Amino acid sequence: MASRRGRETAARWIFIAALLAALEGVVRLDWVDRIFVTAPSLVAATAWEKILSGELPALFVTTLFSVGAAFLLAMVVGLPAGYALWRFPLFGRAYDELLSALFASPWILLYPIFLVIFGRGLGAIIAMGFLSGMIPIALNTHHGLRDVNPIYLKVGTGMRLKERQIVRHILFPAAAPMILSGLKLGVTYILISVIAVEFLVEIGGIGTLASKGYFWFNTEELYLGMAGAIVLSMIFIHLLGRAESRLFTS
Amino acid sequence: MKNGAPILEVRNLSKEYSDFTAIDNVGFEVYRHEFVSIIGPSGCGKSTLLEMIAGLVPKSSGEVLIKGVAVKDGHASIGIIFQQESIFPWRTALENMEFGLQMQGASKDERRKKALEMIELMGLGGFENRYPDQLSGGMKQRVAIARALVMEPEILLMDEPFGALDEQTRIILGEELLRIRQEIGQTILFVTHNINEAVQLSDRVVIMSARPGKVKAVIDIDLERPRTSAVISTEKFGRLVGEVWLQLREEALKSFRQTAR
Ligand SMILES: Nc1ncnc2c1ncn2[C@@H]1O[C@H](COP(=O)(O)OP(=O)(O)OP(=O)(O)O)[C@@H](O)[C@H]1O
Ligand SMILES: [Mg+2]
Repeated sequence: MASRRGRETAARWIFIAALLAALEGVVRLDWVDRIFVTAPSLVAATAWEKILSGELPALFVTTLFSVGAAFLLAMVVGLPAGYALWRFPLFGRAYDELLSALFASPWILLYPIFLVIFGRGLGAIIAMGFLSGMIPIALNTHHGLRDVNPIYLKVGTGMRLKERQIVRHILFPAAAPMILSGLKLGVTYILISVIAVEFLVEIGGIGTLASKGYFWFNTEELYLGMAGAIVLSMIFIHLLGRAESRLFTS
Repeated sequence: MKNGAPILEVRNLSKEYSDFTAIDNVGFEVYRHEFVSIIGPSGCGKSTLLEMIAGLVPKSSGEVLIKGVAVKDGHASIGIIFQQESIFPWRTALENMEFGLQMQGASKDERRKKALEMIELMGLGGFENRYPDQLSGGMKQRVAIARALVMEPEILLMDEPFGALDEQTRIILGEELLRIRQEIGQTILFVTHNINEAVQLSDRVVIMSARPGKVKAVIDIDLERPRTSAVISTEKFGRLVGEVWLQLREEALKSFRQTAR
């Protein structure tokens, strides 16, 4: 008997395969211009070629590194920042809205400034990724902690626990679902930011592949870049999901 | 039941909030192994009183003494069960019960052993690995009680622990509570707004007035122990319920008018 999970996975892949097959058909029948859309099989062939030549793995690793570094930094700063926003409510009320506004602004447009400050390299990419990921992490951590039902904390006080124990064993577990969704948001925004900057400044990574494809009318490379981004996002979301289920079963 | 000195004394306790008095000069005492209920109209300050005794809400004036010693913010021998649902949704029933022991640094084996005993005592066998959202309201309350009981507090403060339950579950859990108390010998201070429940469980019932909360009367419940819920059908039970209601009626009306305004 197939497990529920197994069936979910099967349904997911069947759907994706059907979409790809439909796309393949549409392109082969020349219903669309190949400049705009290309056949998945051609993208796959290009991918294979570039895997063998070592180009694709190198680009992949570059992007993975930028996203990973930015995410790590975003957590190291975002989680304590969220805690501080909660711990000092005046500070929290003062900055929460500001952060939300910042989060909503299209500040990817500031990339030239980052290039000037950090130079034309991974530094600028990671710095921009860090900022776009840190904000949702800090905000969600703040909101998660703020919305913890006070009765849970009262249980701790009633047992005369130390503040440290209450924070570690009540406050954070109670806020964990919200904090984790902040991490997921964070990784998504980092990925978007990293690939966008790679696309704009062409200094390596999946984004650069897409940008070169775009520039040279190489539709396969453009789509390969996008597919790479999707695969990366799936990897990160999957890893976070694993971390989540481990957190809630221990 | 009143043997020796009181284990818990409340003296001239008051609580003022910025614009009104919630508790006004309340005093009573509870003796070891006694079951005392506090009953009063909604909003008269029962929860505030209990949380002041537990040291969770600062007192405006007055004293709380445990075994003759004034305490400022709670005492290790007090356990409290809250009116609101308070078991941790991220822990299973068993893990909830282990929580306090874990915080005290008990070994994994030891706390597991004690929690399993408590599962047995609470009649929650087979549900130990369920998360709260997979438990019924009555089970959740039993987990909350067990979480406090594993710490073996000498004095258990219970704030309407069965308040959200249906009448039948409430009566049965009350009976269970008496049985468990028989086994571990706790002293219990029990808040309720249910007259039948107060009489079914208590040795004495403290009746509070409408806001501001004062002690209006104390009624001795001289029903024999050990007691089961069958006591409800006795004539004496009916008479005691009537007696409590007589005292409470005026206060309930007052409280009703206060809130109806
Ligand atoms: N933090 C607070 N600030 C101001 N007023 C409060 C606060 N907490 C409680 N009160 C008020 O104090 C009064 C007593 O509240 P309390 O919760 O102790 O009543 P209660 O007797 O437990 O009521 P119920 O039977 O409905 O549980 C109420 O009028 C309530 O509105
Ligand atoms: Mg109350």
